[in-house]
Amino acid sequence: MVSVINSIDTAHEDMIHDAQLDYYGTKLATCSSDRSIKIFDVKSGQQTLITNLLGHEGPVWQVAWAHPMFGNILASCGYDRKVIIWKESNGTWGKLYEYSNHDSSVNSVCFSSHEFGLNLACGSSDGSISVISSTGDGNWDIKKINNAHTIGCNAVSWAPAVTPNSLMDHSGRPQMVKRLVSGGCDNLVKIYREEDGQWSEEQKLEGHSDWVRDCAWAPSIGLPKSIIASCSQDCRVIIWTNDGTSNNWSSKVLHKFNDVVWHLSWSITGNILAVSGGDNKVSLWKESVEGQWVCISDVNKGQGQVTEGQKTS
Amino acid sequence: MRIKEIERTANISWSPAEQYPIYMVTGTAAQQLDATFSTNAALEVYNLNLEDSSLNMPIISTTQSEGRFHKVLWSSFGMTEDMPTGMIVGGTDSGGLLGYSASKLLDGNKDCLVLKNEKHTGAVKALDFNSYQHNLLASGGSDSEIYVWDLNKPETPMTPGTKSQPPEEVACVAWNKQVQHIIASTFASRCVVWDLRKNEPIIKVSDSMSRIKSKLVVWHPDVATQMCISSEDDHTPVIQLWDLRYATSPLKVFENHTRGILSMAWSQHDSDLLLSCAKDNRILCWNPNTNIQGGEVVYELPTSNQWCFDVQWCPRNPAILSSSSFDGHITVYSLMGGGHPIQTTDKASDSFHTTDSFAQATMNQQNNIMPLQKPPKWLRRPVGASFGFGGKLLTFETEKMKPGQQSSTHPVYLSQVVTENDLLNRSLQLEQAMNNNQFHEFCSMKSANCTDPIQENIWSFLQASFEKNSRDQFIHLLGYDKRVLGEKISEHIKSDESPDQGVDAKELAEKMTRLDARDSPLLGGMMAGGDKSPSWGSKTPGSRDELSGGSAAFDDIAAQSRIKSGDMRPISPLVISTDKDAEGLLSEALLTGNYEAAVEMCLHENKMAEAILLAIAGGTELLKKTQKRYFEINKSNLGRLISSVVTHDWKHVVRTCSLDNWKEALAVVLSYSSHMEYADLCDTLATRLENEGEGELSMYASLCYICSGNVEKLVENWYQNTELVNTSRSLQDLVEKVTMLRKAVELSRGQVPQITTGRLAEKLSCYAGILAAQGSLDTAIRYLGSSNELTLSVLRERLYKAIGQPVPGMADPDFPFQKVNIQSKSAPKQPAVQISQTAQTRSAQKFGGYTQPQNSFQTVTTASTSYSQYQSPYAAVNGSVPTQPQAIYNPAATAGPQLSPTQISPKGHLSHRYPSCPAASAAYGLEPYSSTAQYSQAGYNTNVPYSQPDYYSTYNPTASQPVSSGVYNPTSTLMPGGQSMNASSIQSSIPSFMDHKPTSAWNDPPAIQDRKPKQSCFIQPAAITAPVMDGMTQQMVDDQAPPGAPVYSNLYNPQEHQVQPQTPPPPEPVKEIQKGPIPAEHQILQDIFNSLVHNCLSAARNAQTKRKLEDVNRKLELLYDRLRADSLSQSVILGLHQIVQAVQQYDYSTGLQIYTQLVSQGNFSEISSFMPGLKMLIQSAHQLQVYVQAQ
Repeated sequence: MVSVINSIDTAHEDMIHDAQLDYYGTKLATCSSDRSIKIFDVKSGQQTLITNLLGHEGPVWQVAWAHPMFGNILASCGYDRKVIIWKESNGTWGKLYEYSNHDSSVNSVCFSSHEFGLNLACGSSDGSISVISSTGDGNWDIKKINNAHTIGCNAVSWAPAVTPNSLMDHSGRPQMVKRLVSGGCDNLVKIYREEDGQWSEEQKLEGHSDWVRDCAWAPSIGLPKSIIASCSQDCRVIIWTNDGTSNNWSSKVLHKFNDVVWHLSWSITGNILAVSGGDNKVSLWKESVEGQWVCISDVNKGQGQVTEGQKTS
Repeated sequence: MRIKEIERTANISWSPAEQYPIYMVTGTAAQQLDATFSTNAALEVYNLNLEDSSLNMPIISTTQSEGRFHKVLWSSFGMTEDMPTGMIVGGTDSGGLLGYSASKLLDGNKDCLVLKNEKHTGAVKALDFNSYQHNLLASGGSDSEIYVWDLNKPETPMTPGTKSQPPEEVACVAWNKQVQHIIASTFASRCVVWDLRKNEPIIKVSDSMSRIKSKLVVWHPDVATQMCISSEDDHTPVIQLWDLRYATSPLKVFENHTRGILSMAWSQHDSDLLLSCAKDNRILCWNPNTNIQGGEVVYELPTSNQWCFDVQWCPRNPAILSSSSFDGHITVYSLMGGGHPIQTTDKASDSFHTTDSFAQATMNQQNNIMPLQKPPKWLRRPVGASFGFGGKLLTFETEKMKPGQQSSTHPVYLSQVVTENDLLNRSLQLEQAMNNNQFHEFCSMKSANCTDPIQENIWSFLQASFEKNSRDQFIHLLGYDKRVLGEKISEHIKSDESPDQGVDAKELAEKMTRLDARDSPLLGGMMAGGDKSPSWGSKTPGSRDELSGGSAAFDDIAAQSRIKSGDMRPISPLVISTDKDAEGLLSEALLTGNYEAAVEMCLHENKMAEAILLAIAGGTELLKKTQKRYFEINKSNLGRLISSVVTHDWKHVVRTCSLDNWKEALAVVLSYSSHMEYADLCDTLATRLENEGEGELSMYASLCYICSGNVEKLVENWYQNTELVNTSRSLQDLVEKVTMLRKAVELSRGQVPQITTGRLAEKLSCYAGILAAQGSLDTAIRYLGSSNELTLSVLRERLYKAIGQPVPGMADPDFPFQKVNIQSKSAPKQPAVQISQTAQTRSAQKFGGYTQPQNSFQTVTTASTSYSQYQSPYAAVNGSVPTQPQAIYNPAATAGPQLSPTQISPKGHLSHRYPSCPAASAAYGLEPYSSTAQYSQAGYNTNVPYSQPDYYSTYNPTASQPVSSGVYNPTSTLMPGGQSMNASSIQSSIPSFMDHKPTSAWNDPPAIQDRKPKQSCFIQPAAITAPVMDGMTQQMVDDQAPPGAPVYSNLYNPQEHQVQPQTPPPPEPVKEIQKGPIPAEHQILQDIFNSLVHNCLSAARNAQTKRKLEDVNRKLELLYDRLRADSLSQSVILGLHQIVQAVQQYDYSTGLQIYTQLVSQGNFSEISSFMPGLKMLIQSAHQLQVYVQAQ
């Protein structure tokens, strides 16, 4: 059941490309082709514009909130090849850091789980992925994965801090392996893993027959299983699972849609997947006890119309 | 960006959009010869192969063809099960129309030619497939011939109408993209548009104003009436955009090419992108939809210096396009970047081997221009949905602009997603019940709705636990009803009644009832019913007084029944035996009043009843003894039960009873046990049920826990017996029970059992998590309790802030994470606190990071575990951290000795990386003294003072060298508190120049260095320290340093280290005095470069090249020295590794690209000594075609 509780008029002058709620769900950040980023206070039904961030010189593709332990920090990326990290101090938002070491549009930004510190992964149309890490003192450490996806990386997403392998680590200290998943114009989904400070490709997941538009690593729900969802220009959403005991990933097509699938989002608890398609349809999917992915709701046009269906994939 | 290349002079076509993987078919171009003058003709299929980042496109299949091609087209016609890859058609020189089955061609089947037609006269240069009906192919030959073929019956082509006059060669045919029966065709002087339904030309487009030689026509992908016509004429190299609704003159004219236009392609994915290539060697991308005068060129592809005669968009991958040039190259480009740089064919300048890296850099800059000012449509994500905390879902979409609408609004919708309706309803019910104190009602409702008998029992028990006389209720629930029991017994006795043995059953039943009224605990308890007198109900059975009363009651029964039985028998004379047998002895004992002896005799004679009777007469002592003896002898189950009852040994019952009798055991406990032991007994029984019982029995334990009010154990039992513990349904079940039981316990004992840790807390937090995910934040937060467990605190704080207003009865929760203040690099002035912190850093750096004690001011926020974790990445690059060291970042600081465990959140490993300023400053005032006391280093205290002014005195630039050696007290390097910190890791994590120059007390003011950009910090030491360092650093900045000179070893001042005997010596400098090995992780650099040089040398034929390579060798040696000295910034090292990777993949162009990047970004003095050598090497290898195998 999906019911609209707030409709926010963003007053953006062009297409909106991303909207994200912060950790508490009280602040909304939106970005648009009009080159601006807006932050709204949406606490208990209100919609107050907090700030309008200008700094990008082209459409802003994505925004990402950092964990609140680092303060109020928002990252954005855009067609102008820039990644900007914004920070609020004393009620005022401003640029904290600007990263412009990509040769083409930066399509995706994603903050790592806070356990790893403040790390931002950026995927660019130049095919590379950057990992920007704060050293905490105003300096930023940059690592770059070149040629991650030929002719462009469209999406990056971090693995949760507790990886399945940690359960098998008997040293008593949780094994914290940084991993991220990326999808790109080479139709591939790739998993990268950091070892001794260097990123290397760990897995190449082949299954899509067209650009991978988005990929999202599901939050950990305490099980040793890892789940990744990817969606593509080929209209399909694929669920990739790893049982945590081996390096094998199995794939399952969640559904073949009628249009390009642009965006995926896991719920915070990791059991619902929101799928956004080019036909402006958003549908919610959940894995049944039998392991089938079931559409539990179509969110139609954001108008509060709700259909409850039990379509199986 | 160039991504692929094929060396062919050919006409090409991409595979259709439906086809995956993406192929390209090439047909040998007609009227073009290459240097071999070969006249062979072939059709070849290549795989785009994007997975491979090299320029190579592997050839998949090839077949010889009869003629050379003017035009090749791959269509999805016939894309069916048996021919999944469609059809390739080609127009040949000799008027032939050839059709190939793509599937057969791919399979290498020689019979792939499926269509051959030579109806056309002259060369077939124009071909197009209808995009709606894939079987319709239009073709154009010379003499104004246009045919429309239905490939399903290719024998009889149609004509679109009468031939257009004058007869001219048909240059191009194009189907309209919106209206499927419209086709356009171009002739040198005009463009004719046909309507196939009318079978006649509907419009002739010719511009009377300018004389264009029309070559190509392309339809607008979205607007049915618009098309572009390109002119091949060198005098009018224009593209005209026509709208057929106003066909008197072109709507727009795009002028930028300087010579005739050879090809055009309109992107089907974004109509704002129109490609054109011309004889001026340029490939331009236009936005035909803007109204800029002369047309807007949005991008110019950097191309070779050769004409391209064809450009095409890849139908499947919107960012990919191809060009075919007369110099024999088919090049695949990406509009977005991500490929190889365009090779400037400016070979002349390249052959100079410019070692001027900056010139190279600027060239590269030009290559890196942004492809398109406006992003193509396919990058613009139109829709999205993302989840937020509390089951919130944000959705947005691009609303179609309605006609007449000036600007569309762009709303974002915030929705609540509820997937657990059932759970929410139940949670609401529970809430209401709790708020209205309807506990009974709730429980009875639950038990009434249960289908599972065990669950029903549990709910009945829970309900009973709200009763005042809950224990009686429990007994009742266990199936013991006093009325029913009485009736049962009377029935039993009736049926068993033997004529000669008569206890009047009716009377007995009466007596039982009477007993009950007299508070007999045993039977009264056993027969407890729903309707009891208040006095009875309020009594707790089981006290000893009552018990003795109970045994008296037994006596009564026994006596009365004796009397009765006596009554019923005929009276006979009493004969007292005086024999010497047992009976006689017994009589004697009786007669003499010797009860003990009499009892003894009775027992011996197995006359139990007599023995007991006598014992009663003989007093309590004897009775007890006799009872004991009796129970010893009588080991029957009943006997044991009676034994327990009489001796109040309930433990025995619960411990030894058969588990099938758990109900009975529980009944006993409920009936008799004292308040003190009651709960324990219940738990003991439950534990037995859990441990020894299986299946249902184990579940019955929960009933015992309900009786005892043991919430934690109930949860544990539930956990053990529930399969899907984390489903919302089972959690809701649990929460309902737990909530009720806690309430019951609260009511009966007056206090709420605390939820502290363990399973219950975990499950409640899990439950709260589910509620939160359903948006039920207010309810969720109430289930969290006040536990300080991390996960709960995190959730509590998150819920609290998400609710956004004070929660009644709840204090503002603390932020459960270690706050980290990410500072801005360009922060101009730090607050006072931060200044002092920075100052602290400076002094720490001054000592090369060996001054741990100072750093104790940060101990509050640091954790040693996080230290190693955090530092590991830097250890890997051996200290060449590109960033500026800071206090926060300083490993020594992070390794503060005194950890306050409560401050360390188990999950927040890295949170300790960045101690927040306030915390640090707070600790700053307090901690240092305690820790310094530990070291009791007077020198330390004086020399590393804590007041701010002193810092600056330490920093006095004039004090430069003496500060470090004089002030520094070696013994203070002892790890505080026995910290087992790896000394070498400290080393490695400190930026290199600090390692090697402990005298870096040469002091620039902290503020300045703070703001230094990353790159500059690597030359800076050289530049500033030159005078201080006695010229030693000269060598470092001198890129003419003699080959092989161990640059950094010279810088390293051994004396410094002698002054600090206990300081762990930096590993690198010591080693490299003998020019030690290159750090293992960089060994590959040496290996690859050296073998590449070696291979080049063996391949080199002339002396000049050899000399050059020797020079390369020398320069590389400088690089190796840098590596040994660990004096290269991380970005440089990373770049070098990338180069090596590229070299290993024979991808020299990428190598050079990375090289250029490095040179343009890197620090001049850092890399200038060896980089030119590297370039020379790669270029030589490229020229000599020398490769080196990956190791």
